[in-house]
Amino acid sequence: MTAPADSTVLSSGTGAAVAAAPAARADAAPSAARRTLHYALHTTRMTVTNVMFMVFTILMPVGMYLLFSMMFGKEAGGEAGGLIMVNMAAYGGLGAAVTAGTQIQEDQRNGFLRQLIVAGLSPRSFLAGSVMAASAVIIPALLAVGIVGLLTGVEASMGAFLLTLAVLWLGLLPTILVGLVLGMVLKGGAAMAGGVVTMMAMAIFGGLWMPLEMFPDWMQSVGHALPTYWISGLGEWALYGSQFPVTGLLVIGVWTVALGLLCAVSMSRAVGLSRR
Amino acid sequence: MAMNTTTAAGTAGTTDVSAPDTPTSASHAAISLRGVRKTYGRICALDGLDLEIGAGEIVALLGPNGAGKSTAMEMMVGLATADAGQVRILGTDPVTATRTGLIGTMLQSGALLPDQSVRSMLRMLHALQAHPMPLETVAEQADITDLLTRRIGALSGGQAQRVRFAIALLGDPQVLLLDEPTVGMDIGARRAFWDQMREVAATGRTIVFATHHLDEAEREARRVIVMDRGRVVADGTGPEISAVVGGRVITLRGADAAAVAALPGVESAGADETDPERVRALCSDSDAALAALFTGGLAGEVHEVLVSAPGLEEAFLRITDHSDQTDTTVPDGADR
Repeated sequence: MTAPADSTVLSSGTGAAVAAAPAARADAAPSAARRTLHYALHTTRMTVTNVMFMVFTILMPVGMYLLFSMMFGKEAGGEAGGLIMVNMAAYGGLGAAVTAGTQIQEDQRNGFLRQLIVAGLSPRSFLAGSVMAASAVIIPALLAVGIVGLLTGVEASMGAFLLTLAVLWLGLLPTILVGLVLGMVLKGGAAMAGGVVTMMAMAIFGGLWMPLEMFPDWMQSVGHALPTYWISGLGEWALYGSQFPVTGLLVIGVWTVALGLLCAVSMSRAVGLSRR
Repeated sequence: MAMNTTTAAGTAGTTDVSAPDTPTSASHAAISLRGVRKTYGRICALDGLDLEIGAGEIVALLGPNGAGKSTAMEMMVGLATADAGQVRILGTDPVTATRTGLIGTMLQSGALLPDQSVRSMLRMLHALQAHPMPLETVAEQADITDLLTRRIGALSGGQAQRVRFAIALLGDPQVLLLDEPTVGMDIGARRAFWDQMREVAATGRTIVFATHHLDEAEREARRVIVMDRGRVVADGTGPEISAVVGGRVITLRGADAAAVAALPGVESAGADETDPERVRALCSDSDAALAALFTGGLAGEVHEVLVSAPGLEEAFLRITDHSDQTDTTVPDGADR
């Protein structure tokens, strides 16, 4: 029984030096905010370098905008073109938000979140960073549709144009959370399929593809409860100064709070961690 | 069972276990688990685990599947929380230890990002560390410099393990946990991995690794801790653990296990795990057993008789043999 004693001697020698180090190093640890930001930046980088993601989230809405505006754009003195731009930008952002959300969550489901936590990221920072990253990756789709809109004859002042994009961007927050929740609740292929179905449903019932007035009453009722319908309404307000949809702000707010809570709950269940 | 563990720890674990309550001392244990309990539903993963590992030690954690090795390691990095008991890493709690980069982990089959390049994924994890090692240094130490531009999904199992090892090193941790690091590696890759590992170990880090490969435990670790059913059942150097099984092992063909077991000097006999046609007998007195074997009724039957000293493998099987409930054999053996 001499060998363990040897190793004890050996360890007590290095032990003193090692024990001095932690206290000094603990001060140098980056803050949770810094880590969140780093995580968000890297996730954004990984998503925008995904060629398929960019092609689908940009080309789809731009193509549909071109198609619809060619067909109906001249109606209502050209304002129809602007509304189609708003709706297709919202649709593009919706697609990017839901896709990014499910994709980020899928990485987490695979267990990569454990690597992130062991590297020092808290689950809360992971959620916050994921929302930030998804918010960032919907910008290219919004910009692309907007710019193509301006180039193809949508008339708007620079101020109104930028306000419209900003309003759409902020209004899409609940759709990002939809993506995150779907990714947490469904697995792998089901999450992707669920994302597509949800996205389509929210686009159609929200009147992004065709005016909601064309649909039966029950569909209109459903549509009025969805954030996508009001995102479009907010965009219209920003672009053409129609009446401000207060109800829309409330609907989007309720969706955001409810989904935020659902995210937090699913998260703690998904991680299986009881935070101290 | 409780007495058994106490005795085992008291004899084989020596001063590591008996010198804990000195919080005023400058040196904390690298890892300290006291009475740690964890159940998942009806499964008891850790059953009052006591473990003390000093700074700078290199320790192998051995045990059959379900012994609680992975759960214990998850607890050390804050991925699981104890139902009862205390876990301390260098004098602090596991969550703080991971946040401040004191401890690095190679998770068992830890998930990677298959669509990303190795460099891309490492950059992200690197950015989250409290005081990271330069990425190039990590790549060198884990021998993945030539893999950095590769897509993770296209890596072989052994290459992916090296990437996981790099992840563990990123934070320049004082304590390094490796959960079955050589899983999926062929012999050559395993050898190369341990060569690399020895260089990392030379920097004075505390290293704890879980393994199924008994030869790795015996060769690479100064201290071997055997876990079974959520607690420590043996703790000592490789040779000490082997000594739990005194005597000799006789293997042979041509006789059935029951007949061999009945011979004088034979403690137990059974089919060899790797070759069911072979009988493997554990002897307290191999000379008497051999004499009886060649003079008795089996003399004409047996062939390929082999006598050897039992290694860690035998000890391991013996210690974790659930059919043998004579608890006292372990500490008594360790005392020898």
